[in-house]
Amino acid sequence: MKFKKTVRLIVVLSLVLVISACGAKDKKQQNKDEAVTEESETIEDPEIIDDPEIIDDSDYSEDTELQDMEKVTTGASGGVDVDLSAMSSTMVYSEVFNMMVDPDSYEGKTVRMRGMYVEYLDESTGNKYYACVIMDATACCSQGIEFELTDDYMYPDDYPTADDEICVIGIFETYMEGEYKYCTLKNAHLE
Amino acid sequence: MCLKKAKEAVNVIMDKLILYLEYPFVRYALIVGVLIALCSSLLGVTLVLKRFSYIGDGLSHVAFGAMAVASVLRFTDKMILILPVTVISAVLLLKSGQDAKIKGDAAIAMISVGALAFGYLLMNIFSTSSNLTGDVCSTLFGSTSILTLTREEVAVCAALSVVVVLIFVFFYNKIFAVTFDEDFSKAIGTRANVYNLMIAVVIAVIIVLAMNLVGSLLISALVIFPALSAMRLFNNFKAVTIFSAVLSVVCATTGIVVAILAGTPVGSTIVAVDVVAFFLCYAVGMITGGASK
Repeated sequence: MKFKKTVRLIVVLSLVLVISACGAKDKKQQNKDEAVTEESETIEDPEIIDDPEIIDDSDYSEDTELQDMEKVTTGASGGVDVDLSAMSSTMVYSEVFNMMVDPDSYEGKTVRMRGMYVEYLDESTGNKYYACVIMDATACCSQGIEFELTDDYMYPDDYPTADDEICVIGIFETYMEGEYKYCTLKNAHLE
Repeated sequence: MCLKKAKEAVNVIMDKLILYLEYPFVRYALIVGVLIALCSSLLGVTLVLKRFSYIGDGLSHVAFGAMAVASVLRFTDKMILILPVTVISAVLLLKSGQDAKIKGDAAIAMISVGALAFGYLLMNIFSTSSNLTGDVCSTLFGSTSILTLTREEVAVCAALSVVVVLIFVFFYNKIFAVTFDEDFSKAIGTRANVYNLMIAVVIAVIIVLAMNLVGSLLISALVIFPALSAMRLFNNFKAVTIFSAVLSVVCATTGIVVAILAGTPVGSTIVAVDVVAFFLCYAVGMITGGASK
């Protein structure tokens, strides 16, 4: 009697697994179909780190996640050491967090990031900062990396407008301003 | 043709997963996630059977309040304050449950909302962060905190998890006795109060650990769902505990992997997987006779 029930349990569990597997396969096929048409890249900026007010809820987050999901990802390429554009938003957020916590490990590495373009003017010094930011999955926190475009880019003609989705590649470096240490992508260019 | 596309899609996902696993913080998240899921499910069975399912929620709010105080006081290691406060609250709630003037559920509700409100109020008034909303949101929903752990935090979590599992294994019989019939176990000389105290301390430790994984608001799910799922299929304590632990670990791992692949919030993804697993177990239990056989 007990044996029969055990067999029944195994059969039912097997059926459930088979049904789940079929569903998963369909979804994967769909993802693959969509992936063929997708392509994207990104950059970030750190000055705006952890400031949710800088980012307004545009279509950016959803679009980026969709692209991340659909994108074929095989790791860093084209001389890029850290390719954040190939990651899901959760991964990008976490990786940028780690870059901010332990910047020395990333010093000198070429970083590519896709996110939202943000400008910030420090009125006390008159300095202008440019950043690429990304929101976390709950859309309440943001992480970003500051970048400095090469002299080939003239402001404002060659610069994006605020909230544009951009993709930046640059060399990760740190610098001191006052008593604080900041991170930036030097010699950056937009893709 | 379709099969080929499906295979390619699977390869793409696997490549992505392998790439992500190269990042230390992803490996840390999986290690800590599995450990926390294991610990929470072990005690979850006891809590559900003792009708204390909601205590996790109450204690997590206490932990949130303590974290707010630690932030305001600018503690470098907030755990120094969070852990003792949560332990004391757990002891008060579990130990004095039946004798207190304010009974179990009311006491939990009171402490829960009181600590939550007090914590948020403190953080607002004495804010030390440039991103208060983000901090609160992250603590409550555990968006990516599990993916931002340091090696030291992983070590602390691993050590505490080992202690929790060892306590559960060594005192399994006593916990079993206290869970099912406290009065009887007292009558035969078991020091039920001591074991209740021990359970309270362990629960508090698990709650504090689990805050990193799913956030304050979702901890209860980690504690109760695996236990309730297991109870749909089995009807003895040992089988329920073992199945609950296995299911919890599988759900946590699945949730973390899905979250990093799809870019969804880690905490709520894990809980969503737990909910799906519960309904699967419920359906299987209905068909096979499950726990009622």
